[in-house]
Amino acid sequence: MTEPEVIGRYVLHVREIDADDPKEYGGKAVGLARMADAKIPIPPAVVIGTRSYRSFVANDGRIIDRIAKEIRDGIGRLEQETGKKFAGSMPPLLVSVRSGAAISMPGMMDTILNLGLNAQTALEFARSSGKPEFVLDTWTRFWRMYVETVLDLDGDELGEDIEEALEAGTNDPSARTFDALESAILSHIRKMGCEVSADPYDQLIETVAAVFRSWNSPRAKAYRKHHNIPDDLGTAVTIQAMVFGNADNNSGTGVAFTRDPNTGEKVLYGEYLTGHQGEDLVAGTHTPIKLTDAAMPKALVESLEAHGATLESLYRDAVDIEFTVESGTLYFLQVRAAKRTAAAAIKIATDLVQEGLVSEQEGIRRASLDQVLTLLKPSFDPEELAAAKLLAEGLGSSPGQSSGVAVLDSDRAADRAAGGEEVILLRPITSPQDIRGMLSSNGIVTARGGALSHAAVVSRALDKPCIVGCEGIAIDLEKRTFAIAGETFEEGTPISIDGGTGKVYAGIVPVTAMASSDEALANYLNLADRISGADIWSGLRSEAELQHGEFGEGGGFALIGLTDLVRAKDRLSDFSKAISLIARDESHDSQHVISEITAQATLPLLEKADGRPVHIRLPQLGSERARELLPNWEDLAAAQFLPLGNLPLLRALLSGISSAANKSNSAAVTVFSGGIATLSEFDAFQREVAVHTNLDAGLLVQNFAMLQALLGDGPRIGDAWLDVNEIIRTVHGLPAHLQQMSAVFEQYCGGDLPEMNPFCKLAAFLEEAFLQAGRIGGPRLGVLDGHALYDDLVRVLYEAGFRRFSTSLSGRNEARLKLAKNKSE
Amino acid sequence: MEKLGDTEFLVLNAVHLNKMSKPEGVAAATGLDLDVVQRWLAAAEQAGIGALVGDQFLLFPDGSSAVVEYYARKYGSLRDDPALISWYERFEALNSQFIKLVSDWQKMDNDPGVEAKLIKVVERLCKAIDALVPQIPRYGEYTRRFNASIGRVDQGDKDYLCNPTMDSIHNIWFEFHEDILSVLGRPRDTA
Repeated sequence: MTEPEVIGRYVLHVREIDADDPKEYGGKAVGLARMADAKIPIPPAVVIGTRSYRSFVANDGRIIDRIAKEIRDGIGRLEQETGKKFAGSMPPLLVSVRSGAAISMPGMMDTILNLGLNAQTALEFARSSGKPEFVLDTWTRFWRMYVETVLDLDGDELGEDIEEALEAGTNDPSARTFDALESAILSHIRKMGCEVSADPYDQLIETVAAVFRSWNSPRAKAYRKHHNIPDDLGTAVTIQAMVFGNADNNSGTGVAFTRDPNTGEKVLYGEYLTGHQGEDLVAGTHTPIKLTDAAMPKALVESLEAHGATLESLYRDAVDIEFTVESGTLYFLQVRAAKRTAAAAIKIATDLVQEGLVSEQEGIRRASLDQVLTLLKPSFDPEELAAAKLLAEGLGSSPGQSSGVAVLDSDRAADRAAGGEEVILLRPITSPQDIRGMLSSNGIVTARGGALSHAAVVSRALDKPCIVGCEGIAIDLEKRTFAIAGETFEEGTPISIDGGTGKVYAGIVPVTAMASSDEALANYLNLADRISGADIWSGLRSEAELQHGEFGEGGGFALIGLTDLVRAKDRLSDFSKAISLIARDESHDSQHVISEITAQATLPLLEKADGRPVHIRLPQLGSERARELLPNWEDLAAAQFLPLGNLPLLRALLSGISSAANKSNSAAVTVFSGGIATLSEFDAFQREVAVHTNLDAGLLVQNFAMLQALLGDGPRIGDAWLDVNEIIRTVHGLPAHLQQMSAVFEQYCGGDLPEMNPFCKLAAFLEEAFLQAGRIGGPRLGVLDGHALYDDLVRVLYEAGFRRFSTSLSGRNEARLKLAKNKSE
Repeated sequence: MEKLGDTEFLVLNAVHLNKMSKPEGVAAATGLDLDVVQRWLAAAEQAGIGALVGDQFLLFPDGSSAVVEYYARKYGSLRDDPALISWYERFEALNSQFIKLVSDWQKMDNDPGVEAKLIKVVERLCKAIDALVPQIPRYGEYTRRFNASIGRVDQGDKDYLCNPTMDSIHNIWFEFHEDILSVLGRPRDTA
């Protein structure tokens, strides 16, 4: 085949275009050009450049003769390359037409497929292929798309109008029936008030004009306005030859993934269907074979593997490929970054980094935050699940596992949830009136309905487990009961549901913390730590929580409330009583009791801390918590509410911790006291702690005065934590009981004060102080409770230079991911 | 109990379809001025058929019955109209496509190709609704709301596709589905 010359000024072959000029040729053509450059086999294509769009506009929405001629020449070029004929004798060349702007935008015209047949060529095609049904389907599908997207008419109405003619053509493929079908189509369109031609060249020109017109559709215009995209940028149009997997027995169609989309394993994955088109694969009417099947043609598998590797380096990611083999020639129809499960995403991300295909920062982006969070969700304890009684089974339609009491009405579900109960909404069916109940439930079960239901859509949007079509459950709304296999249950019966498997269990099945044993997940989280360089410390409420976590390489445990540890040992009431006594006199007996309880509460944690540093926060008589716990709190002398206002108590606590530290042979233990506001106060605290050589004093900054003092004298202070939310709260004089801070401010004044939330948007002087602290604070100055801060605020603090963050145990991995994601984007 | 007038119905129906709604939400859904909405909600509270609970208006069973009675009175004659019945059959087909596409969109990481198809189906419904507007003028509000939410989705706010806490495309569709079933006096038979 001799290489023909360049088609012209307006229409170019994709191999001839500048692949770095998506503005002129559009994203689609540029993508094809790059694939062609990389020797990926693609069906030949030509592109009508954006300059044609400008000509179209300049000529009052008309395609000038010069361009029309070049389009014909372009088709000629495709005919030459494929050895087929457009609108002529056999074999027929059919083309697809796609819009292609530099930036894809909503409202632009969709793809038109199968353009190129008329009654005569369709009949010849039907006879030569021996598949009249397939040809008629191909041809009428073209008309349907043409009617809907080019002419903006109703495709269903066309379908109804030509039903009989189509049937006649199928039963008796002849010139008469094919002509009649064409007439029926044309007259339907004319009846609807549109002009139409049976000549595929005219249809092609009309389609190109429709692509150009769609540039100015209201949706596209609104999108450009919103994104400041110039209106005169214009769009290109790509015309590509179509290939058919049902051409003969040496043809077929399939999908291939360069890596297993379920596990992420680096193996060619996918399926292939000999002698059929892509639709047959999608419809599931024919059974394909796996690409790994021994019956697969070896050469095809090798080609897919080789091109797959090329595409992976081009896309810098795993890809999925739609391909067709036409009479022995392989064509790649569509390539894109592969769809994959969350588990596959993290494996692929870490593998790509390890293979050197992408940098660490790029690699971490190959799994989305949502995907990883899905994997970190708590799930039913496997042992408890095995012992649980299966009640019923429906269609799992939104994954996740949860439990609660079954409630049969949305209002009652919302009320009981508001009262603090965990609720599962159990309904015969759902209507919009149930959304309120769904919002406040842990999960949704419906007795009726199929997998495709509004309830499932809403559940997935809310990320809650949902089971539909649980037909074994008979609900009696009047009596407020439900029956399963003859057994009747009252509303309020606890149940557990698995929205993945569709199983409903009796009782509450306990959940376990996130799977820490998963190696791929651990690798991904370690990758996140390397990217962020963050030093993550974990808060614990008892040493028992140690078994639920995976604590990575760095970090320690902070900030651990001594009161929590005492509570975990069930000694809180003795402890409160002794504190109450010591607050009234200097009873040495009480001091002894306090030391003993403190030692008992801290010892197990220090023993199990595995050499990691532990930061312990001492109880404070002035705190809200003390006010709740201590009997007759209001009678205490006011001086005791200051951080160092009760030295005997402080000394008793310190000696208890010190003796536990001695016994445990643990690593460094540092103690913190809240409320300290001046350096001299901190010096005094340090002197008290220094009595015990195995303890260090740390600084907990909870107010702006201490923050300022720290900025002046920071370097000489060792470990310190900034209680950022508390500093913000006190600076703004907000009440201590301001719970659920975000919700409060979002609804404050009816939501009319968007900039009002000081926990999200820092006051300028406060931001300046935090930025300065981040610059000079060094690695031992940490941000307390990073999980409880707004994402935007964490970003500001990280950028200011903070790398040490403490989090709750449950918020730990999410914080690690977010810090790395911030850094990599 | 007094029978509902047209505007009163518009207001209470918007509450009824969602069980409870903020007055601002009713105004947005009906296109009525907020003070008109508030006046009718106050009247309903006076009549004892609903009440403001927090910032949401809740319709009592009597209020819902009044809404259902209006549907029967106003649209009773349409219920045997073969044109409307065949319209509804087409809607059911469109509804299946829509839910399938929304489900695919959710499961396929918000695939832009699926999103484009999905919005096309919504635009087809809007066209179909336009044909009903001469008989049921208030249905014009649904197309207005659909178009507003499509605009938000196009601008990148994908929550307007199916987040149940906002006027998302799926919420509007779900509500319209309930509405047309009420017009026809049919029970909901799918979840």
